[in-house]
Amino acid sequence: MFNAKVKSEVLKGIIDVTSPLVNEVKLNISPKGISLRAVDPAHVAMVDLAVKDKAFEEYKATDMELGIDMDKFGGIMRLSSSGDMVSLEYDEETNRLIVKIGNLVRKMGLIDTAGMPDPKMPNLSLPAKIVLKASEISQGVRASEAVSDHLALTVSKDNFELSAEGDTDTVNLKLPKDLLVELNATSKSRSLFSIDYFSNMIKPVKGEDPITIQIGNDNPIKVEFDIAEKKGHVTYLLAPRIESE
Amino acid sequence: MTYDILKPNASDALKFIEKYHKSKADKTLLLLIGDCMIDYRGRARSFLDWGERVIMIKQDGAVLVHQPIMREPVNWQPTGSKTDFSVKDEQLILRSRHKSPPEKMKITFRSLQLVTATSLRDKAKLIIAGMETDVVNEIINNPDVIEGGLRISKREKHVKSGMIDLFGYDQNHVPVVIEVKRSIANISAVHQLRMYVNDVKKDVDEANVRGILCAPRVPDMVKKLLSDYGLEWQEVERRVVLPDDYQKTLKEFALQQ
Repeated sequence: MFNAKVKSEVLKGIIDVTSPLVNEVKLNISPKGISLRAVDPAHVAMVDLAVKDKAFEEYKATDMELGIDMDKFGGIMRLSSSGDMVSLEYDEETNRLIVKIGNLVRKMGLIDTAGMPDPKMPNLSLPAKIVLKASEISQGVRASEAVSDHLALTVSKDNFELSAEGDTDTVNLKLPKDLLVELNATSKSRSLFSIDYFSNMIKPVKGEDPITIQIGNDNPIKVEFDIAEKKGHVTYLLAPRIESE
Repeated sequence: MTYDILKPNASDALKFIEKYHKSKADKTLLLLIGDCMIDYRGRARSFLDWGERVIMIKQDGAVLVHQPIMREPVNWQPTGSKTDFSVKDEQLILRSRHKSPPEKMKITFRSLQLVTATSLRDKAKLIIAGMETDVVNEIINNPDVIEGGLRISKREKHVKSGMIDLFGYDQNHVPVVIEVKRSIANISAVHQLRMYVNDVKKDVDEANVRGILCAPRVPDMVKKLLSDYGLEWQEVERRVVLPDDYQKTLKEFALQQ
């Protein structure tokens, strides 16, 4: 059983976080909330998302799985305006999710979850950690997009640095410790990432909201932030690009 | 998500395409297999009579029509083409238009075996190694792979009978002609090198010009012929050249643990 009522922003947030990586997800429903974990088809990035029952206005559920086509679900949610209350109900007989927005009733066919994988979160030791406001980093990422298809992130004892190098142009963003919410590193860590993936990972976080980043040397990056008014949490992993020589 | 429909009639095929393809054509790859006729007007005019073919509409609008044999598509439309479908006289009709240069293709299906709609993600770029230019670049960067003291002075030097891959001088200032082959050296490469060497001899008015054939492998028969003509050879390893940085996958890290 799954029966819930929630503000459309919460559902849109889930879609923004998930749809750049995967077209289809297996949503795990439990009495305490919903969660999902998915890896993109190229196995470069992983998203892990959990939204507590408290994020919903009403929530009643037993343990179950819903297979959702994110493009389709995104299309349905675009019918809603911000502030709209959306009700979700699983119809077992027809295997559909009944989505109600105001007087609109939209029944969405679900995907068979039988063949969908349960990716495991790799166990990484990432020595450097920073917490910063979304606005501080998003400008640097946007600038890098115009210059290259990959960027380097470096965390040292006193600052965080983002840099991108193209054939003729370069971008550099250096944030000293006092501009960051938190910096925790004893030595220098540097890894290279695809801008395409990375920019999608920080895009859902806006303005003053904090993003937690953990990196190592030529290791995946871990990006974490809260959604749904802190009643939901997102963890991304992104594999690095490797420089040879 | 992949959807398909087997042996649909024209109107069912149209319904299927409208449901799965038309709503988001830029995200859907559509594959049609059927008996069709193709009329093309654009840079030229072509007409292809009835026959069973595979038609693919890629996510960027490109249309490819393949006959059951041969590598190349028999008809195609470039990236950015717009495709529309309709039904007339119980036949499915595909019209693809491209603005500049103006090109129009009309495909009429009198029967369909399969229609598939899917959405594919692929961000990888093709990396090709083992091109002749890779070997040439390697020799330019490190002439010592041929012999110590060799200096390369020109790449792609024109002579009467063609173009020399690499031209240079050895440590005794003797002109050296280098011909590079990407795979096994054959007899015709020997004749090519011999002609180049003769051309250079005339051009520089120098009786002593060396010719070296470079290839990953030079068979004994070719070596024998080269010796007969007073030419040399060098077997050069072909290295797979990877780009200076490339994308790792999470799998590699998961396995480390």
